Amino acid sequence: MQTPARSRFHTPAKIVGLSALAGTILPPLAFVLGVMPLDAVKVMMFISTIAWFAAAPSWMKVD
Amino acid sequence: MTGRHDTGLSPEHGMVEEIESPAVGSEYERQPVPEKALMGPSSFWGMYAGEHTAGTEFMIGPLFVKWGADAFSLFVGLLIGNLLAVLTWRYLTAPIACSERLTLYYKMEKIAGRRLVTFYNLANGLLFCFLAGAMITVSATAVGPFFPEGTILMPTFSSTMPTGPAWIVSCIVIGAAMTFVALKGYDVVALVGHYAAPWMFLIFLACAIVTLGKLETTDVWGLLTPPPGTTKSISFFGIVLFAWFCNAAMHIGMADLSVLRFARKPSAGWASAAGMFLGHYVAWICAAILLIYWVRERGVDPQEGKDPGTMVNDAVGWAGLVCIIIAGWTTANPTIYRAGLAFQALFPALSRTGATLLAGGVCIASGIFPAFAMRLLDFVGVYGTILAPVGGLIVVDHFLADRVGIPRDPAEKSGSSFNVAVLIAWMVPVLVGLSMTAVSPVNPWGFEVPAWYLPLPCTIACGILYIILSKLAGGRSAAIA
Repeated sequence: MQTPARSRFHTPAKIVGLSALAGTILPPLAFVLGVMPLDAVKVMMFISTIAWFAAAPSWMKVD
Repeated sequence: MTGRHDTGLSPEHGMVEEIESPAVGSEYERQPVPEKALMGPSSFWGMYAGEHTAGTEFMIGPLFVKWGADAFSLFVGLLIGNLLAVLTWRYLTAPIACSERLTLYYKMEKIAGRRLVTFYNLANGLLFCFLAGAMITVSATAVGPFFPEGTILMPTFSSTMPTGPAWIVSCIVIGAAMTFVALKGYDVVALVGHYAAPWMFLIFLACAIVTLGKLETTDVWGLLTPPPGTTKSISFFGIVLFAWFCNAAMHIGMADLSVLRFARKPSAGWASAAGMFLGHYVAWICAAILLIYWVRERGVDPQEGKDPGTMVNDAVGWAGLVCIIIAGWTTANPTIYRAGLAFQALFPALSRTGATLLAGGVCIASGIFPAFAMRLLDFVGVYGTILAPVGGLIVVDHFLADRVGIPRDPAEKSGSSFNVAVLIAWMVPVLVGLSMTAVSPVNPWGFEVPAWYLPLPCTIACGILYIILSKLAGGRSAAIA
């Protein structure tokens, strides 16, 4: 059962989490397509990593 | 590769207490799992996906490159080998788990007796330590890029000894942190592993995508084709067998009875596909591509390789370093904890803290020496060869005992605590098998067999020997001691 706080943050956390996953995989693709330099890819991926671990506990289901 | 191996040890019980991840609870150690505790397949898909994407995947892909594996072997061989592993889980492990609904250790206790299971757990505990040591080694390579180049001399494939004081300190710090967390229990670590799983898989994928961008090609097949003249040290068949048996202890060795006994139906065994095809297919190939870049563009000798930390940092930066540390940490941590339990059962006077510290110390000591990580393929084969054969005993007991006229659960029926038939049936194939491998100090056979060829033959031999010895014992009871 979700706590009220967890329930309140569920949707925004899910959006942040999914965006973080996108931020982990899209920058490398942008690098391959030549639209993003590698340094920016690394920064984006690190920020996405922080965002993922901040958001995941609020919405990922644990059996 | 995974470090999840339940020891089933408890000094309070003498031996059998389930040590489980939160996914499967920590109950029903000495009784069949009841209907109310059964779980649907979704619980198992996430667990397998997370646990088979570990830090050591960063070693295995490059080791295939070192051994000159070709593109066909990697794409098709790994596909077939992983499929065979999944089928083994689905059609051998899961049906027994759903029928018996017991932990491996309780089932083993019924067949082999309590004292012999303690011996099995000693082997298990030591192998846990070396496996966790390899994970400490891999994690320690992620420390190097945080310091000026050359501060920490990184090990290569040929390294067996510590590379210097800075390397030793890195391993001690990382190993001590892992041991400290293990002292607190590993629920938090298991949670972090659960949350990390999808992100970790994408980091592996990102490493490969960035590397393809650097190489300005999308021809992965061409990249994975070794240049002409490359010595091929691993065949297509070898790769199939490695993929099939790198987790032999889990499937034919029946360690996953402890997990799959909670499955509502044997079809939950298909969940292992998540671990095999994400962790042991995509992640291995991605890791292999990393080293290929360093060989082609940076002139690295494939026989020496490059440490995972440097390669991953070069590809995706700090996110990759965090991935290496978390992947190693989440897998090594429960391994240290369970090794501690194994030692505690052997030495009941030891406190839980003392036993975990002892296990952590052995793990750190083995992690300092890169030999275990750098010879991971051999080690994984040895690990499977030693532990998988007990699965042969369980298969015989479950499927064949009535047909061949030997008792089921003989130790339980006779009240024996040490079934000599089991010891002989287990040890003879293992000792003969190991004597054929490169890790054996004495090889009387005149030829060498890769260790990962051996889990299946040793398991079959163990089952056959067990039947013969049980019959010789008179069919009354195989528990002859």
